[in-house]
Amino acid sequence: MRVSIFVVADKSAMYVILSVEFLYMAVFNLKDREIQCKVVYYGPGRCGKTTNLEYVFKAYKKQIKGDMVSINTEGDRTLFFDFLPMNLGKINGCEIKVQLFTVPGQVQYKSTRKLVLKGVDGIVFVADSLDVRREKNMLALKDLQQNLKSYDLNIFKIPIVIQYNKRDLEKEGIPLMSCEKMEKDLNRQLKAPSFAASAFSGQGVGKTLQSCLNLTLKHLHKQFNWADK
Amino acid sequence: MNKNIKGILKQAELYQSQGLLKEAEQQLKKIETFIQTNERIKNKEKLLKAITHKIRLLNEEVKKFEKESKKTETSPGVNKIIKNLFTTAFAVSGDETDKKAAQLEGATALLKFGQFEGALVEFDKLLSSEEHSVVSAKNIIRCFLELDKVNSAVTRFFKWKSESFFTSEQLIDISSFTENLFEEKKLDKDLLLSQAGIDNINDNMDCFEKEYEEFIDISSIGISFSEDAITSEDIELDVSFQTGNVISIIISSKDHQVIDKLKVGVKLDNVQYYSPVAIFKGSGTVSAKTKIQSGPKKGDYSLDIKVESM
Ligand SMILES: Nc1nc2c(ncn2[C@@H]2O[C@H](COP(=O)(O)OP(=O)(O)OP(=O)(O)O)[C@@H](O)[C@H]2O)c(=O)[nH]1
Ligand SMILES: [Mg+2]
Repeated sequence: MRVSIFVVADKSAMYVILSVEFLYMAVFNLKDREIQCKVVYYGPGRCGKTTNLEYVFKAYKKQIKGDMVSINTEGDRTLFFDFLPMNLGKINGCEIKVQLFTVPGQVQYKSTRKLVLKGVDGIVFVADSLDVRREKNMLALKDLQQNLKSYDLNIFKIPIVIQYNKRDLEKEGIPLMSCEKMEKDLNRQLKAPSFAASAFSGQGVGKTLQSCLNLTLKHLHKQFNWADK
Repeated sequence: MNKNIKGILKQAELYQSQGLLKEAEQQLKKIETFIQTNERIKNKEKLLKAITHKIRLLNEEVKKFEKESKKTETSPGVNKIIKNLFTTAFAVSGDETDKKAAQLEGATALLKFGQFEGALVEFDKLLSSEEHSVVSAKNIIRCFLELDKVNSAVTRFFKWKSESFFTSEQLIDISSFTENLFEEKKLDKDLLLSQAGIDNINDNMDCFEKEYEEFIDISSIGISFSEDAITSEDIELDVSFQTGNVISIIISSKDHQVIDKLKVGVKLDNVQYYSPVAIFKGSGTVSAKTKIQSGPKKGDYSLDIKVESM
């Protein structure tokens, strides 16, 4: 059975092109003919998770089916989570709904991050390109791995993509790590798809999400398929 | 060199604007040291004054964030979202038991997010469901105490006692939980002893030591069973929830040995408390142990450990 799902994104729209040989569409055919999946943006404090979601909210109006909910502290740091519901439309009569979440990145909110991670299907790990945040990136990835483990999930098996954010600051003369260096730091073993981005300008934001949704939907399909047999 | 300083200053300003306050401070300190140690700088005093001023402002900002209360109550709308988003026991089947389990999960999520007012409303609704009545009752008491409504907690407690709403076994369970909680929060346990206590509550309010210390956030713990040489293997467990100096951990139903060892009342002399900032050695006492009745962790045990010293 060959399944290929492409999620294509451009500046103004994100749409799903799907080619599936018919038989197995039943696997998506849950009670309400609807797939609901949860994607969580994870990463160190201030790396730009919320900014990613804000950009998605602005740029993909068509696919957004509700308001973005942000629960912040006064200083705009995420306290509990941000939440953004998306609807990618119908695939063979099956509605694809996506819930985007961000976690609070500050170290002390570990237990909240764990709560938000509950039931996660796919992860966008946002790394901060700022030189001074090198160690924080690595600690956050470790924290993610531990929190996943507490739900019996393996970071090597779950759909995950990495984003190297704040690339726009390079031309401002602010010391950034090169993407290669961050690949070595964070992605040597993981070998996840990775993207340079600037959540600030939106560059790379769509690509990152698109890649993550791709992996996530494929993974879900495989799971159901496998369970069916 | 001047150009260099400008570059560092620019970095400091950017970090500050992104809320990276420690990083900003480091850059400013670099500049401060540079000016202090460099003889040939013009306007040295003036520059130093300007930098010191910037550092002071930054420190004020840091303090502001540190002070910021964590106990923010959110709006009913947000509470509804939390409830809906954090229930996995989806009522796919439309089954009443699943629905109730989902409601309990939602209420617990509110509690964990510190939304005590909202959680209270939900647990109140669940009181009538046979399966979840005891855990709801306990959490109602917990919410009242978190909200500093000791009065309401005691009143409610006696209401249950007088109403024969719970069986005597259940009442004992709720009583001991309540007593532990009172002890944990350094409240006067005598209030729970007699009905007469109720009338005196208001007079007695003054003697309550309401302020319990802010406790360090513990993310996981390591326990060594030192006396037991044969199975002296250390175990490490993640903390799932923490209120003050009581931490909750989940133990998988597979870990029979650990479950058996950690009986309520057992004192643990050799515990390592891992916090995001450091590891502390200390002791603790197992204060509660409950088998989880529903959800993905069904069959596992939830254990409360009271941190005694650290
Ligand atoms: N220049 C630049 N700034 C960015 C970029 N992404 C985020 N920022 C800034 O970085 C700061 C933090 O961004 P947030 O999106 O709030 O970060 P976060 O990861 O949600 O932070 P927490 O909620 O505390 O975990 C803000 O001042 C953003 O404007 C980027 O791509 N380029
Ligand atoms: Mg945020």
